[in-house]
Amino acid sequence: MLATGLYAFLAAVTVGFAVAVVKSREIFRATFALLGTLCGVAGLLAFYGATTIAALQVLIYVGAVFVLFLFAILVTDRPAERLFRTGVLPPALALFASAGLAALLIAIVPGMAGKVPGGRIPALAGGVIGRAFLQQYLLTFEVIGVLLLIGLIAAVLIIRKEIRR
Amino acid sequence: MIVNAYSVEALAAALFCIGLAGVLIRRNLIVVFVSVELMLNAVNLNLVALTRRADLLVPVEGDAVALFVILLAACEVAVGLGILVALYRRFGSVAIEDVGRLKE
Repeated sequence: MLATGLYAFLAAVTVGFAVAVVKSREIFRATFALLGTLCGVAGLLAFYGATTIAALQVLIYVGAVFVLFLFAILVTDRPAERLFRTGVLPPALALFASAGLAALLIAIVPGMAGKVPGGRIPALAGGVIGRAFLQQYLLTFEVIGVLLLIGLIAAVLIIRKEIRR
Repeated sequence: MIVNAYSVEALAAALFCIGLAGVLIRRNLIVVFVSVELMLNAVNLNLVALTRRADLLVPVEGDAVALFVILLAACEVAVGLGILVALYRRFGSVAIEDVGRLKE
């Protein structure tokens, strides 16, 4: 019963803040709503038993990606741009398309019937995935590491101000 | 407690489609990026939850792929926001319609 309530709470937090991301009129509010969604997703991941992934979600998303977003807003934002402006599609059409896709996805789901254990924390959660990374996923792990390094160097190169002669 | 896979999928589908609506509706490139992060998170929820279904024996593969998704998302955000700052320097704006030109 407690676990059901926890699951409903985490789902409500995740979806509620996600709606706030799309709806809020100011960029800062949208970004801080993303923080709520990320924490909700981390809670859900831990609820499903993936404590390692949940911890990494908090470290990488909340710790790094969120701060990067704030940094980008501070560098680029002008007060006139903070207001809500709609994009290429009219909002009604975009909402209709998204809701249609959601309905389609949920309609497909019964083919994926099954039970997911939730609400219990497995022992040694980190050891299994750590061993997997050093054995079956070793090459992918190394490639991702090199890719991250290249990405960071590229980001620095792009952002760096051009040196005038 | 046992969670029905149906509710897991429905939750992830809802989150994914909210992100999709954000990408379609919003005009500021930063918020479009944030919405893409929502979509990636929805996929991660599915990966982690459905790899733990009772009829699957090895629960590590979804976790591994989810971790790769998180790392690639971090990489994407670093490069994407770098490009965004460069665009702002060039065009003075990060609204989609202002940065739509490929040449000059």
